[in-house]
Amino acid sequence: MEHEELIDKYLQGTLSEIEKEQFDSLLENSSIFSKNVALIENLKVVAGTEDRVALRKQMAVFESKIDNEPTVFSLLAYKKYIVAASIILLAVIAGLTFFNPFAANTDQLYASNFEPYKNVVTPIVRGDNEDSDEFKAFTLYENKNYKDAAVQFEALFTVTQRSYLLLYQANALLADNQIKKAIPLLEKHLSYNDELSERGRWYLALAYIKEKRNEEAIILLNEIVQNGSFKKGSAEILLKKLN
Amino acid sequence: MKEELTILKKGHHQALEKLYNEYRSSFLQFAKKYDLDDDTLIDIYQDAFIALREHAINGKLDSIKSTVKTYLFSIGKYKIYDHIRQQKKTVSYENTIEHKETSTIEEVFEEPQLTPEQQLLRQHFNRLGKRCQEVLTLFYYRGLTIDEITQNLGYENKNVVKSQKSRCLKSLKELIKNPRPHGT
Repeated sequence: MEHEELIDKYLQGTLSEIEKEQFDSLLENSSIFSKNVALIENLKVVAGTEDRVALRKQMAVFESKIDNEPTVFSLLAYKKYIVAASIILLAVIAGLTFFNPFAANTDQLYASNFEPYKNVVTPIVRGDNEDSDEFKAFTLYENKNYKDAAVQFEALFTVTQRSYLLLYQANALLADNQIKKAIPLLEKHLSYNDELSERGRWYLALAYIKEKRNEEAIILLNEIVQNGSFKKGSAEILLKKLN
Repeated sequence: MKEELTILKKGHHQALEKLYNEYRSSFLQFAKKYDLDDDTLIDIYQDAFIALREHAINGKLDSIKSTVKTYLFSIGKYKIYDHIRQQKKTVSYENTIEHKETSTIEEVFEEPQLTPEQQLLRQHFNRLGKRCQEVLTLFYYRGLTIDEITQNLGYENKNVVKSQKSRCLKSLKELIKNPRPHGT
């Protein structure tokens, strides 16, 4: 029986007694066979990793199709409650701003909110993936090798001028705790106003917080809340803590 | 339930989307009480959905007594508590009744860290053609049989799939032996 078929049967748990003996003996005595078994076992893990990346991309597509409009209900009926609630809210905010009982610890705020942005733009795309330098950079990034990933993203941006590379370079730097270096990149990324600019705004706000540049962070967080999509809820929470 | 397992394992785009959406709205409804923002909840839901598919592929769902939906929600609930714990929003996480309930799902899936060897293999794997990646993934990772793959990918007969799989494996070994330089 061919080695490949024997390994397949082993994986499926369908080896007969005789085949099992043959398998064990080959595993012990043939280095080529044991290498092949190791390769298939690694392939199983790698294919799984790629398959989950693909599923994440699929889910992002599903999400983009879902209509996120909030449920409409008669505003009129709730008008007086809304007015009352707004007054109370304003009073509370004014009180908190005036007394400022919780001076925010910006390091903590940053640490509990920062998480490197997922690789959504690109590619670790299956098949037809010819842009191998970009692939290499994202592989480093996904494998949490942030220092090297940042270098790769920088080199790639110089060549391709693709704006999203700035966002990923900055994220790699943030993850590597090089906040000061990340900030100008995020500012530059925002100026491109590409489809990831909301993400960029969020990370720039976090970087400002970490650097105790709270006023600049508040402006960005307010914009995020106004735009009302990515990280709106988290931005609102941060604003409450910063104000 | 068998139908749901098949969808998760074979993963036809439309069927998977239907299943994703079907559970999504009730999950968000159910998770409202935890006071987390929508982005976080959707992230958690997606992680739970990935874990669910992982368990379907590993055969862990074959013998569950609850429905797939209940199982998914238990994973989601576990992940919500985990998230809250990391954010240190609760004090008595360990003692909550909910935590005890959800901890019956012994292993909620964690993404494995690839070894350096696997990272390299991943690069070679990504250089294969799309069809090759698909066949190898369905066979080695999802555990579909050659017959199922033949049907799934619309091949004429199973011998075509069999030889395709062998060819793809050979190409992968070639790439390992003689890695092409980047950009070629």
